[in-house]
Amino acid sequence: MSSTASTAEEEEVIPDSTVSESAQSESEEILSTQEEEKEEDAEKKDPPRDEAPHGESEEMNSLASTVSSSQDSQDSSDGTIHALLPKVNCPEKIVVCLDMSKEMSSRHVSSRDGSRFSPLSLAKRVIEIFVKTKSRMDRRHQFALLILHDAPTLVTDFTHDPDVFCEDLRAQEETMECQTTFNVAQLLQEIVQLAPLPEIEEVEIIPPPYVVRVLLMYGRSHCVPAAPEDSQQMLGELLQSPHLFLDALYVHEPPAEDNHSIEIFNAICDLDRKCLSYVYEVATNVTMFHNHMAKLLAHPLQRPTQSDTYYKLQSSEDVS
Amino acid sequence: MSSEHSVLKQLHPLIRPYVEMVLRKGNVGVCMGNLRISDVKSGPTLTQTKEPCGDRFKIYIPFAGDSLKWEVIFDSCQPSNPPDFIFLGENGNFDPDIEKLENLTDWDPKNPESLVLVIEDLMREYRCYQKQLIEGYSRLQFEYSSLQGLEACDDVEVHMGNRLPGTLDSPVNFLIRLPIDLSPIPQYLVKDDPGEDLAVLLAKFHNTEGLRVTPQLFLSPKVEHALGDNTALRIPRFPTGGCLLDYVPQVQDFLQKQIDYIVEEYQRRREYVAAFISRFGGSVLEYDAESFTKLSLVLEWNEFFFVLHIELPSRFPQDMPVFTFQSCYHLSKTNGEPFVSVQKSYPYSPRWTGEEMAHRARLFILDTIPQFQKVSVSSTKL
Repeated sequence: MSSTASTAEEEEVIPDSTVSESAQSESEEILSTQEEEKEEDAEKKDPPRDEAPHGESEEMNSLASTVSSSQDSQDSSDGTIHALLPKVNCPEKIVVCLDMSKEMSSRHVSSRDGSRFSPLSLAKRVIEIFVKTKSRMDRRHQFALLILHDAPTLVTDFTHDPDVFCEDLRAQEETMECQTTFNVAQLLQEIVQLAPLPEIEEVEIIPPPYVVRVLLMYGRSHCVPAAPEDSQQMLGELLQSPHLFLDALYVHEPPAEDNHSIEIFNAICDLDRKCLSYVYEVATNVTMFHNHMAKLLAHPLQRPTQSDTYYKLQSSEDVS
Repeated sequence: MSSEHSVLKQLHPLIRPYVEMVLRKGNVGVCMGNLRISDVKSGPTLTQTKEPCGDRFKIYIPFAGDSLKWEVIFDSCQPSNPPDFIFLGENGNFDPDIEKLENLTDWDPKNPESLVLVIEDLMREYRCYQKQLIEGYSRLQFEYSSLQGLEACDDVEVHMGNRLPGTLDSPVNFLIRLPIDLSPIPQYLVKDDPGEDLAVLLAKFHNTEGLRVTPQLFLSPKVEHALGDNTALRIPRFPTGGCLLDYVPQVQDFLQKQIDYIVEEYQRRREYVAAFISRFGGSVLEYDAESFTKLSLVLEWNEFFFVLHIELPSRFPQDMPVFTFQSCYHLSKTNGEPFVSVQKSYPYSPRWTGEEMAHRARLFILDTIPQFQKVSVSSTKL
């Protein structure tokens, strides 16, 4: 590296490089292409406030807004956000659904020191940080691990113990070629069997004993999650349940002619029927991967909607 | 409960219902401690039988910090007759006027509560008896009568114990029930404790002159948990030469202050958390919505994300909340846990409002975060 020591240190210290820096610096932490730079740029904008609550990349946004307008027509009877439960920090039963398709290990991204990571290894890493942090915030939270091949497989039943969970998580190495369909309805059905939803009469008043949160870590760029026609209704009902929350972190190939990244992203956004989900996507930015997972720490009953999230700590010069 | 069960089993079946009622409903007096029945025996019987035929027993009734020991004697041969009573030990001189014991003179064998009613009559007479006993002692008489109608005193029992050896003097117990209202206490502190709100002050006069008085405060479990378990140990000292008329209101005041204190601390914590949610609402991860003792946020500074955990100590606001900065990128090499930096000391004043604290916290975070970023990156590996 030709940079001076202090500059190198600075670059080391700031895990996320700005667009201008990445153009100049030699120690880049990600492989950047034109498209990805643009994506990064857009990702740094504040999340759009109204229609497209989920997309953080410009290209995704334009299509996401199309999706959300179709969403509106889907729940046209429901123009507003759904009935909100009391803002209590009840225990969460978190089902981590880790995609173990071939794509999770066939691509690689680079970190700043040049090491290469697959989406799988990154996912395992951020999930570990997530589970340990969540457990620190409240020991009552429980975690289950499902891995996704053609069908979901339960690896770890609900446990309070992050170490038990992480040990099973670290053992997940084998990815598989999967079919060209992924049945979302089947996934959710298995989840509610694993974690039956609380039955409460007055949902807006009575705090639930727990909520069920699905954390979907999806990594396929060619296989669109869908539900067969005869499961659509069941899927719709599940997704409307007041005590079930579906969040997603979608890791994908940069959108291109030969993949379906955008379509898949929209399909995932479409699962957010109550407008209460957090859905993120990332292509190659390692830092962004971590950032999104940190945002997903938020408790579904106490967090702002995704469009209302705001994380920037303004510097002292700004209006306080 | 099993000892109660075994007592009941030993009793003659026709006598058993009366005793069962006593065990269930025998709450007489200020009631500090449990009523107990033991030593079931039977008198001579006409027939040899293996059936339970216990018809006499001892009953221990808590009263004014002591335990009255009475013997209750039925007759299994004539179970519909009312029982006799023998007053044991120091109560040997208790000789109630039978005319005043209506439930005994008009004993109703068909009413299972008859024994409860007789005991209530006896307790009433016993209280009168005790009052008469202390009438001979001007100091005690003064103390007792001064408590009547006192706002800080809901009820009082007085009990004169055995004579002190070598003297004509006796210790005297005053058991005073204090009014206590836990309704302002936040729900989460009392919801797991059913049962009554009870606070009683036991003032032991070591002699009838009242020159040495030992006070003790007894709280029901619900009150104890709500106020903190060592509240009872910290009551004000009984001043030498003082009297109950002055002292009891002091204790009542002390209790009230504990309640006010708990309520105020809760309000302050709630205000703090509300102020942080207001200022950092877009970054909330989760917070304790019941007792407001913790809150976590995810924040971004110069594209560096981090988690901030805030924990409020039990003596907030006197003690400052602890800020724990946590990395979302790095696990510590030493323990495999997310890298953290704990800050227990920063510019702070308990006199600030919640809003001011949130404002100052933001400044402190801005000051701290560059260093945290450096350390979290350099001391771990990505």
